[in-house]
Amino acid sequence: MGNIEKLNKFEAICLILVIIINQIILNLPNSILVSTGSSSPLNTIYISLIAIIFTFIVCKLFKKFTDKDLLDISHFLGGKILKTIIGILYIIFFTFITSILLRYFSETLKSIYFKDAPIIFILLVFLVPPVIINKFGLNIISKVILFFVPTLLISLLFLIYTTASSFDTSQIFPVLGYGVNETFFAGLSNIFAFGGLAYIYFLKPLLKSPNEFKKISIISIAVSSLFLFLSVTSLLMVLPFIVSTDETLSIYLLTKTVELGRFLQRIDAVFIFFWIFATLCYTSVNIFYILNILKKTTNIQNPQVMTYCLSAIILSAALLPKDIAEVKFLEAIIYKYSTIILVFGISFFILLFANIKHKKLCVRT
Amino acid sequence: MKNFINLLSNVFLYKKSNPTHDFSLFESPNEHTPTPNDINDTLALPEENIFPNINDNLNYLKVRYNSMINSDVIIRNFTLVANNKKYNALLVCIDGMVNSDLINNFTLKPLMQKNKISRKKNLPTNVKQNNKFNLETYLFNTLIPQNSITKVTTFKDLISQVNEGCCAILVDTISVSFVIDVKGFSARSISAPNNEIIIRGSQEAFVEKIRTNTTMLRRIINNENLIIENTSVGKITHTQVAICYMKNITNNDLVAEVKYRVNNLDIDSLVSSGQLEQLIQDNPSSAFPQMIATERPDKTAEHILNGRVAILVNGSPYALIAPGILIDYLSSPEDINLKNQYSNLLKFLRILATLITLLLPAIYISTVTFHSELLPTELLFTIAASRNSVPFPVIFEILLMEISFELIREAGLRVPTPLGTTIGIVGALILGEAAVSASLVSPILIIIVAITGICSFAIPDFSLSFALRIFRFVYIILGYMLGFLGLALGLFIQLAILSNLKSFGVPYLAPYIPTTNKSNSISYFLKPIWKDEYRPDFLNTKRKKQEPEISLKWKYTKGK
Repeated sequence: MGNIEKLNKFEAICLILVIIINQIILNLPNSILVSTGSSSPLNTIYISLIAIIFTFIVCKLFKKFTDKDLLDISHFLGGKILKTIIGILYIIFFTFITSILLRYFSETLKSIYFKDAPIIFILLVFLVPPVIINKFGLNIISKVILFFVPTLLISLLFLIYTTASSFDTSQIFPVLGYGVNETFFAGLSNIFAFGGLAYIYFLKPLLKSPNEFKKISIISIAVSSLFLFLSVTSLLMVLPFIVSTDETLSIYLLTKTVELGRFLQRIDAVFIFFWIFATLCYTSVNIFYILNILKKTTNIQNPQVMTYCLSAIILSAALLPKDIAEVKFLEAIIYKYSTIILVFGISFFILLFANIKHKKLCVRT
Repeated sequence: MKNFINLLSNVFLYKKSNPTHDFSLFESPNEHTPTPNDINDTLALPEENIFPNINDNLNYLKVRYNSMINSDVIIRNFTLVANNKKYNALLVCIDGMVNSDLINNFTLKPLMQKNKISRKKNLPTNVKQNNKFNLETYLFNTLIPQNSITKVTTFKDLISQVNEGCCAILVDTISVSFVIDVKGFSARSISAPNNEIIIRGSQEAFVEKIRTNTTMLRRIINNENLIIENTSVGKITHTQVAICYMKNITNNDLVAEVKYRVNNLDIDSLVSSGQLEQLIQDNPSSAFPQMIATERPDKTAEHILNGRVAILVNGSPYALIAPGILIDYLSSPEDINLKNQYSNLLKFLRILATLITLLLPAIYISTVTFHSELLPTELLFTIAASRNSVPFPVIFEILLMEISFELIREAGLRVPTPLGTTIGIVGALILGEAAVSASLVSPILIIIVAITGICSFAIPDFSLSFALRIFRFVYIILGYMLGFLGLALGLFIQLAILSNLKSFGVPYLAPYIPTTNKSNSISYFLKPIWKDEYRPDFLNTKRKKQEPEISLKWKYTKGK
């Protein structure tokens, strides 16, 4: 029980899962539904398989670099310059996605419960706990996440279970939705749903036993796939995909259909209560990751002192979009393609080239 | 008219003020700023050796004890005869702290009787007889028939022990004092616990006398590996503190840490275990208790046998047990005496009570203010109707009732016992009813506050109950401001803070956060006693197992 800042297997899995859960809570199922229509379950299975294979390849590529993350590998491949570039790109990426998610969720809460409250007030409320928890370090973040993730998963399963009575199986037909092209080729872009892979790139040095990296990565992506599939399918079968383009959280619409006897008819606030924890966990993890990358990129001794500055930057970035429409655009286009380019493109190629370089060096020696 | 003139003269005319007695501690004209030497002189005793001359010793003790003004200090001069010579001697003790019979009959009497023993004629010959007469040895071996006697050479030791209730004998020509344990002050006898009442189990509670308390522990544990180490805390009070642990069970580092903390307190006085708790806990700013305080010797013994360290303070009828984690404060000493099914039901109820105490008013205020859709329509109408006549916002209502409840509770504790019950009934029934009738609060709020109050009484630990009461107010304000968002915010921060909290190196939320070795860890809920094989693994004890896999040997023998 020492105070070593390392994660065990379950903590690491929960850390990745909390990212995907947040994206499920936000408009991820909705984005998939909009782009693929009734073939969204098929598309989810398809992208999940690709994500699992991709994760498998990434783990293989990491195998030669024990205890190293993407930044170390970038340093190995292209020296300090590449490391700094990748570091900055990921800092911007994580800051961007954190601010977008916070703004989106805050806007949703504002529209449901705090119509008169200024958005900056709600955003500030969401930033205080992550700042506090980041002061305590990774050990505490992981423990808190470990406590909340099972609760969140159970709440999602409960939601799906309670809405099962409203399932309309005819909604999944036609199985190919808008067609083969939209499902399998254009629909491939939905792989951005597994943006959680970005966190896997920096996970290895944080693990107590780096040998379990592969197991952790595969399990977390597989569980995420399962929950993504369940969410997309239940949303499709309960609500027609035309409705799901509504401005609120798509999964929140599901909660409105939950009825538990005569006594509890509208328990959506309870789900929102749990999802607030998910957002707080997500923000905490992102702040930790940004600080960690900042530490590695700039060699600062104590990145914790930067927590306040970073929170201010996230807050400012979250306030940049004028309205929810702009947030939705940023989420649907910028976030989607930046994830694909950075996580599935640049990072993958860095790993690939680093492996080739490593092989060449081994042959020479 | 006359009155009016008097009034004017009183107001406007000058009047010479009558001299009155005006006392001010801080602004005395002859204020003396203490120098470091003065402070040392008052607080710490110098390491001065006892003089061989009795008059010097007498003068020294008179000065140190302020015998001219101190009424209870007894300095008795007498003469003793040894080896046919007369020696001046003195006895010093504090009246009331010593047993006078013991001093008169077994100390002064043998010393003052005319000693006719001739060494050569009457003294039985020892195997190795020392021919040279030594007064110190002679007195120690022959003239003081006491079992607990120590020789001291410094005034510091002498005064320290006399203050604890011993008597000291000083004899001319020798620079050693004999300190005899003749403690005889009156103390409260062992009685039933007042605050940790249980149905089954021991009905003994600790008392103020530390030696009685250690004896009670020894009687229960009945093993030579029980170590009771004594130390003193406080530069003025030199309060005796006993650190108790099992030598063959408790982790050495834990014992060392407790001793380190207790021995490194630079304070003037220590009068209770509550003070010591605040001085040695890991995080003094946390509202949550970090050491178990109990008045029950059986509970203390149980924890010592599990590998924890108990600390007893002289003058305090409470033992402190380190480390203390959250689940300890939700456990009652009754639990181990009952079948695990019964205990676990009670434990579950206590968790429920904790959650209700902490969150129910906040959930109510959140629901009414922000999430009214959660309530069934009929209930919502009832609440709305009951609040119709109340002119205040719900936060005012709830704070008014919560504060009133806390006041009633405090008043009930402070007044004499028979009145306390009356105040409780008057407060709860009449005040609540009157508040509803006067439309100050809604009836449903009375129910909420009452349930919260009842649940807070179900929490076995007094300190935890206090912490929850404080945080309840925080959650009420958060719930009023932000609804469930506020509650989530509070819970998230609280969980983070509690996860970060440690008590003597043990995480406060152990064995759950972090999860410890599941195969042999304890949990909040009890296993059947025959299955409770391991000691808590977060204590990292020397003996991990407390019973073998098959403890019911009468049932599971090889032959069967």
